[in-house]
Amino acid sequence: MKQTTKKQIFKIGSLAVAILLFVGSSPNSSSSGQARMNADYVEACSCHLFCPCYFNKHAEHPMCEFNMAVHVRGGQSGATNLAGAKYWLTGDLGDEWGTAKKGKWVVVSFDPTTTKPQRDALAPIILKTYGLEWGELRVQEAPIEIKRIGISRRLNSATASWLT
Amino acid sequence: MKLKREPGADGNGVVLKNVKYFDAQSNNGFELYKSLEHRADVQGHQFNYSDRNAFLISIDSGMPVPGK
Repeated sequence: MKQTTKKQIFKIGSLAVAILLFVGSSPNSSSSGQARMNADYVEACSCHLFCPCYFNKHAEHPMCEFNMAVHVRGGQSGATNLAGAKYWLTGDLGDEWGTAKKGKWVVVSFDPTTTKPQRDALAPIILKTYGLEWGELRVQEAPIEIKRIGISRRLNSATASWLT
Repeated sequence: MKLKREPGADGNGVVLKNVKYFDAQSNNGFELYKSLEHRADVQGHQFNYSDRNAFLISIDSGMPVPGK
């Protein structure tokens, strides 16, 4: 009887270790507890070159109207692989982004190929990246195409991006 | 958007390094461009510019996952 109990305990113990090892080695687990992404941005705004928003608390004009086309090269949030996701931000930083952390408006467009789990994971990362409270925030779906045109990355190189 | 790269003094382009991109954790530098066309017509908002600020950049961004 005592021997049986020992065997049962050993079996339960083995099972618990196996489960712990399985959970620990799951490729979907986020061991660091961080949602992370690496993304390529194509960005333009209403300021003249170079946008003073990166060195000052105000844009060149009382607005900074922008487009940002984004391709996520890699990243993970929990079980969600973020690689390949595409989104586009159109908006206006307004005149209080540098002093009151308030943006005027932003529209987040997700490419149809970006899955719902990717969108759900990316939304808080996008908001965290800019750290602004938006007066108007809308989300929509639209096809996004990003192309690099030209023979090299030198003088003749241009980048065109479309949101249709 | 349609952009053209700024050639810089040697024709190899201009890259601005060591400048923070909002709250992103890191970036590889701002590759400077100018807009040939930059417009929007979305959700009741319209604008249209050219010959203005533009750049390409790669960023690393992240945040804690709730409950982790």
